[in-house]
Amino acid sequence: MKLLIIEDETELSKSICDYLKRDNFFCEAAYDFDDAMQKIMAKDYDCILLDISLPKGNGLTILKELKNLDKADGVLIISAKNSLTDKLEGLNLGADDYLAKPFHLPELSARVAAIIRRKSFNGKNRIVIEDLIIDMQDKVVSVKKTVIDLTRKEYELLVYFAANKNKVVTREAIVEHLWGDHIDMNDNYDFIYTHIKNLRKKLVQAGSVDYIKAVYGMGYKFSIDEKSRSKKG
Amino acid sequence: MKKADPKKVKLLARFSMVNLMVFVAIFLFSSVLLYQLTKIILMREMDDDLSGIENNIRSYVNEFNKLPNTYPLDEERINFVLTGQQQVAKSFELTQLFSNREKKMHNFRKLVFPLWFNNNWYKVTVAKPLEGMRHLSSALVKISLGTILITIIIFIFLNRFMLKRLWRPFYESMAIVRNFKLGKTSSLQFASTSIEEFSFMNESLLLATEKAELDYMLLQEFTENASHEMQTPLSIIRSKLDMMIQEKGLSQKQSELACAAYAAIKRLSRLNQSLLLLAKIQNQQFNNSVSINLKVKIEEKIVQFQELWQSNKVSVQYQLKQSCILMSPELLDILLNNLFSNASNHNVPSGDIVIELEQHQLIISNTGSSTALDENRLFTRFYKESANSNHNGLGLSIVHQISKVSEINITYQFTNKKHQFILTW
Repeated sequence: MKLLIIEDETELSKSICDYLKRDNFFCEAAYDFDDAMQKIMAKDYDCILLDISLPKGNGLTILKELKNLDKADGVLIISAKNSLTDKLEGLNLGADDYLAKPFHLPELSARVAAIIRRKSFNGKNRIVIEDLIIDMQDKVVSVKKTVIDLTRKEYELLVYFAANKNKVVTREAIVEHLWGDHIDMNDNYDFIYTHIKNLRKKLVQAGSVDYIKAVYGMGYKFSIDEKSRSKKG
Repeated sequence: MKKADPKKVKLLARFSMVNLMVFVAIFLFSSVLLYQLTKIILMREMDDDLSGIENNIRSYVNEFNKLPNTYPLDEERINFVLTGQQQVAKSFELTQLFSNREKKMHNFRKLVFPLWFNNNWYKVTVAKPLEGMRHLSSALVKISLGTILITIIIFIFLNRFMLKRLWRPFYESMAIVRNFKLGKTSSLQFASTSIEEFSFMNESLLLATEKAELDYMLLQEFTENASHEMQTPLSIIRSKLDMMIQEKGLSQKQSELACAAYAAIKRLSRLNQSLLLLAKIQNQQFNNSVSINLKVKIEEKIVQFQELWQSNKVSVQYQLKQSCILMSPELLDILLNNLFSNASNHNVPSGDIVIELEQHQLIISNTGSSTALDENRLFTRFYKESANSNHNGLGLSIVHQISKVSEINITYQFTNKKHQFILTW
């Protein structure tokens, strides 16, 4: 899997790269317009992260160029602007998704995962983690053929964890993913605890390994043994 | 316009008053002057007349060597009195004599002069009536006063009539300026006027408002740009924190520190977003009004907020009637988010929230602190009940701004120990 990060802030680009890279995932970075144009013309990428507020040329121009080259799907726009008009324009030009800065890295990861899944399998896709199978199309979760009855939030939580395997994810990030950041939760994270507890219980009861671990004072981590094969089927 | 009328009358009335007083003074003065001059001139005419008679008498006496006859029916009274050796002085006087014509005492002008005849001095008195003159003077005065009166009346009517017509461009311009709000993109339009001063005034007003508008735009742009600039360092910090917590072997202390840093970043990020939002709202960037089914929207929101309310142990009751509102959907979303969040975040455990929706009114009440909030400062930026609360104090400010641009009226009340926000449109 090849990922291109078009972002002029080098520190941010580095963080994204570090967070997202894994065994079969390679990140390339472009820090300005010319570099970006060069790279998109030379290669194909599975996912492109595009900061539209680039110096020396608008990121939207790159997007238009990608559209011309018929490479526009798989683009996730990251932008400081968060303006509705920019958002609409970006999506109209064929971008997949739009994420406003400042974002949580796990959130970014979840969005990238969604894009890649969509691209690779065009709807017929499943996440397979050892015995756990998440059918994205039918939204059904099963362990060893046993179907688990999850609420919508529990399902989304599981998918989120699957996109951030072995990463410590803060409660904050989880709340923002599940409820958006417009609702002021008042730093009350007790109900997150309830959701996670229920999810873990259901998984374990159906015979799954208890992947979700609490990380003291921080959040949670979906830990799986690195050696075992995890296939994003 | 009613309130303006006293002021209007004041200017023109004051001008009129001064005008009037001067006018009247001039007229009175000139009437008096006219009267006096007329009297003097007529008197002189009279005296010349009497002197003429004196000459006639003297020539008659010289020619005929006898005193002329006097006729009692004459208007002129001529009298000869023997004074012997005494020579009287010549003089003109006023006197009262019986008038045959009018059958009563009247004013006469008499000339007394000495006449030497038959070796004797005579005192001759010639008198003529002054009545004609008096009538003339009286008529003149009456005409003068009549003219003053008519002039004054015409003046007053003219004022009343001209008042409205002349000042209209001024009041039209003032109405336009009074309605002027910074942030409206269309420039002011003043009606064209043929009066130089008003034209000048309109030009000046246009210039001033355009300058203010420009400065305002620049300020808004600056605020927006500053906000945008802040997003990137915030992203970097957050991303570094996200990476840092992945490190294995973080001590408890380090975790706590990271947690605190996260929380602060979130607050800063929220604050920045809110400020940006406020700037955008004031900058008219949300001017896409759509008719929204408010009942459905609120029902959706209630579902969204269920968990938050439950976890805060707050019970919610609602009564929703059919209702529609015309505004930007984005702004409505933010408005409801802020109001609903506030209703639970500022609540107390086992408290409650009541939502009542009617066709043109929405009331959101919640239990909370036992004292009323400060109405005057409630919607100002950064108003916070307690000093170190987690909230940035911009929530209500945003609510207020949204209400303003969406033409919603919002008020706060503290009734029955509940904090109530009442929105009407």
